[in-house]
Amino acid sequence: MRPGGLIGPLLLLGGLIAAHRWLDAVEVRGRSMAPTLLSGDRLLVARLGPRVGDVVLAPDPRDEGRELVKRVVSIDAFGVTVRGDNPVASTDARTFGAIRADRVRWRVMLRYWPLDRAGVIPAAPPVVDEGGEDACTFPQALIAGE
Amino acid sequence: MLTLRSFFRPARIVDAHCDIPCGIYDPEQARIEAESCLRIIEKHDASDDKLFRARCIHVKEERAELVKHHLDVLWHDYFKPEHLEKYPNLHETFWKATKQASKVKQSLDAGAAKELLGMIDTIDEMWKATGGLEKTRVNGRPS
Repeated sequence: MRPGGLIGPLLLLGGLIAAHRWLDAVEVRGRSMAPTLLSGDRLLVARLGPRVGDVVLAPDPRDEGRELVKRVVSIDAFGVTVRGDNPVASTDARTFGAIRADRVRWRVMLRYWPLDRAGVIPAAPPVVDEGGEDACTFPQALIAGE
Repeated sequence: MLTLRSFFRPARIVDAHCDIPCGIYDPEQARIEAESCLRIIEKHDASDDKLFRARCIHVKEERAELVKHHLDVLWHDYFKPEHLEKYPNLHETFWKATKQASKVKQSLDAGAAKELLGMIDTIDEMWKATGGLEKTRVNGRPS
């Protein structure tokens, strides 16, 4: 196991005693953030405003009872636009539009479980675009082979 | 508030949500239609009734079109970029299988229909290896 895998959680445990309403632990369900986050991952979240590139928690505008975890792709006058890292299996701003900025209150800080993948959440993957075409681009060699 | 207990067992669930679940498509859908194509070709070949043979061709083309449809949907709605990493030949496999389905649609070649079945079985293996079976099939299906 990488040393970073243990230090993070241990520091956290100490920090927890001091933590009150500014930190929380959450568990991920679903795979729209794969491969960055997988179902069952446990995350430490902090009550911080969103920045472009952050993974954040936000209520589903269509069902406020559901709290989503998605990545911020842009912030403008319309609000915060979020997208799943796994665009082909994600319902996000492409469906429900921007989320009011004041509704996006929690930022994902790090993953503490499972231990072998513990640590800070990687920055945005290179492909977060409409429908994930890049990931599904047809191999040129195949077209040439026709 | 974050407590030690909630740290180890968070009660707060956050959704990496997708409206459409992945576990709804099965390569069997394509396989069943492809089997029909093979059987229709056999019945066509065994008959000398002109009208019956014409109907065979019509129905086979319809079924072959459904094979293409089911393979296409499985390709773009079930398989994900991470599956492509595991199976770099995924696109090529689907491309060849759908082309083969076109061939079955166009011809009365039983060999081509059998080859199509083999290609669907290859896709079935990839589907099973990526957990498609567990995600999709409903218990209690008659064998």
